[in-house]
Amino acid sequence: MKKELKKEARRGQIMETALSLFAQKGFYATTIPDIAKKMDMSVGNLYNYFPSKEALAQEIIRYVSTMLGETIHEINESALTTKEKIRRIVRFYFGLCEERPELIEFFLRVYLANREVFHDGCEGMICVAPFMTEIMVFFEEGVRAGDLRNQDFFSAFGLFMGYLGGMAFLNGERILPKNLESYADEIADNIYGALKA
Amino acid sequence: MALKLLWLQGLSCNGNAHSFFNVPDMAGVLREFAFIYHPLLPCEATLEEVSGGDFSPDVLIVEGALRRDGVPRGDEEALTLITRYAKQAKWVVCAGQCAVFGGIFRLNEPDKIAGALYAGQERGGFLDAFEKKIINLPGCPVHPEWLLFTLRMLALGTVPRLDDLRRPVELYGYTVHEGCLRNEYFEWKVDAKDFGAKEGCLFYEQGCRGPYTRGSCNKILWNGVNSKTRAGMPCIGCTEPDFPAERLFETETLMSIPARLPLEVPKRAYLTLTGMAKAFRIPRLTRRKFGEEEP
Amino acid sequence: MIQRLIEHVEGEALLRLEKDADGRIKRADILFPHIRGMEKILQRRDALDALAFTPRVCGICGHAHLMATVAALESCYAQAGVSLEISAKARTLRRFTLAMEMVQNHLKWFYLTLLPVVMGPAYNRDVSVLSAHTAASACGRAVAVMGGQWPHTSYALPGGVMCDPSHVERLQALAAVEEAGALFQKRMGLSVDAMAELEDPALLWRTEGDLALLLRRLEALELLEAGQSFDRFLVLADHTAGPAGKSLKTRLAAVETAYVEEDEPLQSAGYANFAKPVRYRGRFYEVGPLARAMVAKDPLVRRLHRRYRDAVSTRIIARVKEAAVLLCRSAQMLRQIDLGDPSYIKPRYALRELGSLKGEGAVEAARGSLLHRVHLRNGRIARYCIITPTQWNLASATDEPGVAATAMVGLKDEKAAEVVFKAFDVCSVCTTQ
Repeated sequence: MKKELKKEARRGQIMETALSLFAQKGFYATTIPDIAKKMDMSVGNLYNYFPSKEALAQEIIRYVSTMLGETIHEINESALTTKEKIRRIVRFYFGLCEERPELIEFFLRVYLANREVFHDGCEGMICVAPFMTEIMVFFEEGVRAGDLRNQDFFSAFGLFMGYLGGMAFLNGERILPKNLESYADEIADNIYGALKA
Repeated sequence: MALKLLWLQGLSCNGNAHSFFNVPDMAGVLREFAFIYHPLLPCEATLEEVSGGDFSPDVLIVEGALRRDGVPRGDEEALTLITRYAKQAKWVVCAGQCAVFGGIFRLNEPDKIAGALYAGQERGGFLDAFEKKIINLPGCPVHPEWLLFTLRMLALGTVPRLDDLRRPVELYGYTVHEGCLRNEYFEWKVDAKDFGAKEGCLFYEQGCRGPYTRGSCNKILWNGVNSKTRAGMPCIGCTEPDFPAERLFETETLMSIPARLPLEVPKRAYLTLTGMAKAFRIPRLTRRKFGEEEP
Repeated sequence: MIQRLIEHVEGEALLRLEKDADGRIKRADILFPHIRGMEKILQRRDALDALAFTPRVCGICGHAHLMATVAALESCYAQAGVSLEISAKARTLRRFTLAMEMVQNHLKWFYLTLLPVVMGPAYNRDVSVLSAHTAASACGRAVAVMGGQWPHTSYALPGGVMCDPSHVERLQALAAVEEAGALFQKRMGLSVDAMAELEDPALLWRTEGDLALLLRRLEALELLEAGQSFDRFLVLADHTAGPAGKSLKTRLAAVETAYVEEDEPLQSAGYANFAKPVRYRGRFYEVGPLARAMVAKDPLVRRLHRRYRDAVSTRIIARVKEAAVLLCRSAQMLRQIDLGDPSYIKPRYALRELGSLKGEGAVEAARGSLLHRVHLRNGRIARYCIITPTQWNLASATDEPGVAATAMVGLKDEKAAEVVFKAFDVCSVCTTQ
């Protein structure tokens, strides 16, 4: 039991390490020996944890998606208004950009930019299912409550997530004059204004 | 002794009588049952005699929606006649959506027209006093074999087990979705792009209510050969208390998500599984069944 | 005055008969006491919902109501200037399933309605019921193969049909048509092909079978020539066995549905009546198989007409013959269908995108011309009007007796009146909806 826990913790550490390397250098420029070296373990041992670099990248996206999904789930289950929920989601996302920029970088620079890495095993939205499910629940319940205008899911999703992704990108490029979190409420209002019934 | 049946009508299109006439085994029906009166079959008595007389049926079959007055049958109001024979009968079988819930014709005067035990989705019909005798067979029309099954069970002296809406569980324990030939398209979330194809599931766009409608249409086929959903027509939910819903031929969606999900399936489970299923484009399910050539 | 409740006519009808000094019928009022309000129920509903609602007007000819709704909605598109493409396959399938419903109707009428009243004690209940059952269940199965079920499918819609048959379904349907045809031959003594081509009425009396039996019995009752009415015939729609048109005796002319007008129901003291009379350019016309045969210049029916005019015998034989003709044509239609044709071609616009629209659909149903008129506003039904064949044949106006009422005048007794009345193939539920 103890051994398994230890192995699980080690897996987590490898993922964190790989995540920051992938985020910095990109998927292809990062090698398994790079990750092993930074972990201070042998390449052979690393392969005991992940059979390939692709598998490692896929595991990371699942991990990120699960974490995002869990937070949005809590927001969905709260008694907040739809408008307030949008605010919470935006703040949470921007907070993440500041505190854990590597997560967002990984998503933008690896997951979205290297689709071929994810074709086998992460088809469609499978690896981001926990996140997608909660975002769908958020939209569906917003319409059901009469707060959001009924429309095609992707029209609404693109407006919401595209906007946040765009801001994260500008922030990452250090183009924004102010810190990202100071934009949160205004952007949340814009999103609500665009989607409301 | 053949079971004595009396078939009486309230506000009706006669569709249940005609549907029943499609039973596969009419010779058996004529042998096993004695019809005191039926709207199509030549019978022992006329409606006038039934209305004036006292025939003590074993089973009263009610077709059509009920209204306190304004529906004369023979020399009296349909409801008076039906109530009188409901008292005498051992069992009252409500054949079809109208007799059970009031059906389409209830919409004409929702506060005056109802079924035997229900006014649409609410309790409170015209035969509440006979609740314990009532067996409900909703559907528009009733499936002939569901009615025949019920009558044959009663003839054997066995009351079919009923659910909380007094429907036989062995008929209504299924959803219409079960047994539909399009199930694989549902599983892999391949929607029918349009009407008129044997491929694709009708739940996502064409309004099919099969996954949340109770009835064994796809177990006991219609006219012995087919069902609406198999043919390509969406289920319109004609066995349910909320029949008829609005906009029967398109799926109501909230941000592209069906507003009603399969019976008792939680939203997150549904979204997770469909998201997964959709991701795998199964080549076989994206092609025409018999290839591109003309069948 | 004599009152008689006529039963087993898709519900009931009340006949009120007044007699003259000789005991002959002087006046006949036909009353239909129920109304379910379908036209009102349809108001404000989504236009396509009518596809599911109107078949529920009637348990025996609901499929014709579906086809009339489809025709009415398709004409709304035409009025908006949106042309629809309907494949030949879809058109043929619609005609096929409608023909099957008509055949089941005709044979049920013959065995369950007409034979009992004409034959009296000589009528064999079980043989008749089983004959009607075989025919009806075969025809119902043929509809179900394409439409999923009978009664009450809604498998046709503006743009085509919902089914997508393969050879498997084609052969299933063909087998059902052949089963109905075999029953016809066994009971009537003539194959459907022979009956469809028959020109000489004398042969009908000589052929051993249920029709000959019935005709001889009518002869014995001196009813062959009974039931003559206006001798005016109307067919509002082209159909499988012939064209639209009208026939004044044997003189043919074209028709326009614009001349069809409804009036208020006849009021009769102490009894409700909801049957609205309907006239064409102010005059009553008979609709149904006899009218269709007259307009199609059917040689057998024309010869009978020369002898009996629009009497019960002509009316009955026209209906039985039509069943045979439809069975023959149905088999041909099924064989001709190109299964590779599209079933449905989606209209370029939804009805709700087209604003205010008026449409009209005429269909030849089992009992005659069926007309649906619809007024849509942004895809919702503002007004829906249903004019059924039995309104043409059975409804009288307060100031003028209708087709059936006129046919009963001069008859010797109420038994004769019932035969004449039922020969029209009465449908109580359609007459008032």
